[in-house]
Amino acid sequence: MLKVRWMTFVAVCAALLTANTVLARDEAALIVLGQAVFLEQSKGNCIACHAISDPQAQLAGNQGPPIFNMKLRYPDKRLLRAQVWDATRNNPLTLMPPFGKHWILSEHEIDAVVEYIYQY
Amino acid sequence: MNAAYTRYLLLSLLVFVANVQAAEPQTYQQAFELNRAMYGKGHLFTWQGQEFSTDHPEELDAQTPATRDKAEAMLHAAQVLNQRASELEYAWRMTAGLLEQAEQALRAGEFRQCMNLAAQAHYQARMSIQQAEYNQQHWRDAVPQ
Amino acid sequence: MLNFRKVKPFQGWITVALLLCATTSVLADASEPLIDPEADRQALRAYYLKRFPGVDIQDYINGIYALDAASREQWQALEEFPPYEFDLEAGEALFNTPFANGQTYAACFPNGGVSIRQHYPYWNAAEGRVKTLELEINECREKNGEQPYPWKKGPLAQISAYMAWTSRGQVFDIKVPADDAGALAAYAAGKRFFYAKRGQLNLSCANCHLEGSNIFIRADLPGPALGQTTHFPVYRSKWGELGTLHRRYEGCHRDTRSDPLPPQSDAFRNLEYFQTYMSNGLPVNGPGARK
Repeated sequence: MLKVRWMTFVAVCAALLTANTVLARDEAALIVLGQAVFLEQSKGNCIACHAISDPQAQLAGNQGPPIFNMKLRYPDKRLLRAQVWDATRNNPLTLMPPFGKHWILSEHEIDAVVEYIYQY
Repeated sequence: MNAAYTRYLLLSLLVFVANVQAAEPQTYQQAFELNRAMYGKGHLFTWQGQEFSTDHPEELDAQTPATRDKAEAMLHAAQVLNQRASELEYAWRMTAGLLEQAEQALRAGEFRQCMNLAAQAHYQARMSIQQAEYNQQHWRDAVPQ
Repeated sequence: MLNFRKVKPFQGWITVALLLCATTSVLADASEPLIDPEADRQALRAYYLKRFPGVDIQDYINGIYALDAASREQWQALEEFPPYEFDLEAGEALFNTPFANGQTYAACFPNGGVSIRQHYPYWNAAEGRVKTLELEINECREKNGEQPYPWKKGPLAQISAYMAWTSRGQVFDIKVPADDAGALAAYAAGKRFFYAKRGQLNLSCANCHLEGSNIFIRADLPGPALGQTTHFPVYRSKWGELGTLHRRYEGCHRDTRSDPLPPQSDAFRNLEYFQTYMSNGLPVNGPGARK
């Protein structure tokens, strides 16, 4: 009986660990994609207007505010996602393209870039 | 640099306050867009007691069984709509390319691929027409007085 | 939606009055009640005077180089041996070479085509459209049995550059006749084009060249809308050659991810009409050199 319980415990632990590793790997992959979306001209080209303290982000523009303090500015990550999806909702005249509404990026790419900038 | 960061800290707080007070959607369209914006596609939300999906109508259309007839119909509808956008001088640069790829997929018998591409092109054409109409009404907001 | 039979007479009148008010304001909006180019020009100048105090209005013909000292230094070095010099010589030779029928460009233009750049583009009431200098150079060729040149670069840009050169220092004096509904409509269409957002990226000209002027987009500083057309045609380092204003318009339009309109389309000629009117009072300084 004790043996069975013990084995169950080990199995559950192993499952949880694997799940965690998979989750962590997925998140890391998402962040790698998000960084590419942020930097590459053919993708999001966010760097054209937003500075970010990523050493790979050189010669950023300053048409928009720097990516800084994101967790404080957007305690609800979903609202940050909404801002990337369509910034004209809050300001119709904004220079920022509506990346989701105009299908400039895919929904997956938007998830990725949000995950990437939410680290800063 | 410190001064700049202080400024952005203040700005951050302002944005924070603004976000807390994000306006409640007034129309179905606003509710749809806000939910799509926050959750992406494939999410269900409730509007006035009814449940809806955050998928675009075009995306739902592209999920129906893939047949030659359906692919042809979706491609044709997207071409017609993008023609209308062109007449308004508001067509987008990549929509014609999507339509071309959709046509190639149709010729190759890849109906699902054709439907997905036609859905994206139709959505872009629809948004570009909406953009033309919105700007016809609101462009003066940007003029310095 | 409104069922008049169900409302009492008194309430009915209120509804009618409200509807009338609403209708009037909608109509007034659609029919462009106040097309006042001069007020627009003053407002644009006031905007820039406030935004960049200390920058002389006359300096706006130099675009971003009027606003950013670092860019100005590089540009002044570039202008010591102007990259458009060869094009000017070629343009002068082309301008002075008679057509196969013995006629010349000079015969097609007022004042022999010399010192006239400041009057272009203009509203041609008889044709009911805006005429640009490039359009009339090609019309002159066709009238004399020659093939028109391509709109964006090459000989057309060279001839246009030479004609601008002979007009250097002349002050832009674009007219929008207040009693000509067509001219006013063309001007208004150009103004709307400048301020309306377009393309998949949802950008207007004004996004970058009004509020975005002199703010970095990556490593580039967009130039100011005031004085933006005075130096065309331009030798652009990015192109490595001379190009016309409409070549630049087409590129800008494409950059918004619009399906770009062709050079000399109605939309671009109207835009040039609006933009050049905004530069009234500033001197011709074409051809120019830009990064």
